[in-house]
Amino acid sequence: MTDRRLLSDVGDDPALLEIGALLERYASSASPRARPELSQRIVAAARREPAPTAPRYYLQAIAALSPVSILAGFRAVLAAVGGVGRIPLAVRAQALVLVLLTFVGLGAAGAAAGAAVSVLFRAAPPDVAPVVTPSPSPTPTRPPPTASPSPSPTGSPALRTASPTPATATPPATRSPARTNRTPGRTDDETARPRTPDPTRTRTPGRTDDETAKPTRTRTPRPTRSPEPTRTRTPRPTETETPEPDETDDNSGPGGGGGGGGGDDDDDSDSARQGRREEEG
Amino acid sequence: MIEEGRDRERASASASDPGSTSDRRAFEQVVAEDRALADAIAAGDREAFRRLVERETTSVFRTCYRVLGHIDDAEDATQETFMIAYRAIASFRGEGPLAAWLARIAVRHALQRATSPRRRRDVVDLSEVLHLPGRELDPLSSVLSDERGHEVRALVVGLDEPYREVVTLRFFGERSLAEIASITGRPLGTVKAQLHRGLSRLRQRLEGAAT
Repeated sequence: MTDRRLLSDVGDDPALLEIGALLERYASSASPRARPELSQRIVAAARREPAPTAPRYYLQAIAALSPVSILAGFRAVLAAVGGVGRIPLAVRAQALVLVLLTFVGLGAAGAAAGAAVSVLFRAAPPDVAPVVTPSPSPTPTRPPPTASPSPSPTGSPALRTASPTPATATPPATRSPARTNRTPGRTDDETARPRTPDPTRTRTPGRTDDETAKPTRTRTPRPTRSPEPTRTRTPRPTETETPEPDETDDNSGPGGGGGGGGGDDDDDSDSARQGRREEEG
Repeated sequence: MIEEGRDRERASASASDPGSTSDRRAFEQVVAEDRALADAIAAGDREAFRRLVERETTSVFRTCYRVLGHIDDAEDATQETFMIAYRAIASFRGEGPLAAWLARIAVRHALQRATSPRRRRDVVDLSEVLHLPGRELDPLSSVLSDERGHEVRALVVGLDEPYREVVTLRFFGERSLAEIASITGRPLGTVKAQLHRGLSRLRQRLEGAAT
């Protein structure tokens, strides 16, 4: 028996030697002989199997999707192609075909992967736009712009009303440029909506459509603001012009000083009358 | 046949301690013969496969039996081992003896079977113990040894990989460390360390079971 040989690798540790001796005793006690029919059974089972050629093993490994087996199978196929030994010519031919197919497949897969990577890198920046796929969405959003013209006219009159107001009031000229800036901006946007024909640009910045739609909403409030300045302006001229006279009127009217002032006028008229009477007399 | 077996035994021994050149030559000759045998089987030579089966059945069967502990299970595992080897014979690289390659397949398949939940209960079958060929023990000592064997099997099967594979190949498959290194593709030092650690863990488990 090879018991001593088994223990020779264990080392000098007595505890490990004891474990090794235990395993050895078990191995020597559990050493039955196989039944004689077992070998015949195995050979009979192998006869039902196809010949275990390298190409067959490689194909089975590919079907099993086992990377280790695929590598081993490819190695076996390569060995069958260029190996020395009594390998049938048919097996060699099959192995050669498989090797060629493998290289072609790997090349095709590599080319496809490279193309996919290049496409991904090219499409990386505009990738966002196509992914948004707003091409359908802008078309539905465009109809609202056609409806938006209805607000635009409303806005344009408001703008017109606003534009004259600065003309009337020169001081608000500082305000008028701002409004003029806004008004062209609106007109540009409104004109830009119909210009959306730049589909590529408008689609990529599909958000701009949304943004243009948003401004329409923001603009509608602006007209409401534009009247406010007119209101503020109208009071200012009235306030600036009227205050001086009004303040005097107001002060003379309700104020008690008016009575004093009226008393002076009476004194002047009395003295004049007395002077006229003295002259007449 | 007996001479061939002795040559293989000497070659296997030389694999663990390849000191002399004659032993190394014997080992290389065995490897070369196994490579030619594998090529013949891969080429469709049924006779070559029959020779392999007759030569290695006992060794594979014992390895499976030491892991499984049942005659029927061991026979099924042996047949399955040879069928796996037959289908994959084209992947045999000839870096070691064909027997070691078969032993590794047998150990892996038997361990897989031993840990399978569908496996039958590991109960000592008295009929197997009493009528097993090659047994000269009295029935009582046979039963006692089988009980002890059951404990040893459970300890080894319960080890973690890769210690379980190395310990099983070394003691149940009776493979040398060099053969284990060649068939597993690990360095010899790694295999030695794994065997050492595996035995240490076995000892710890044994002490834990005793306490």
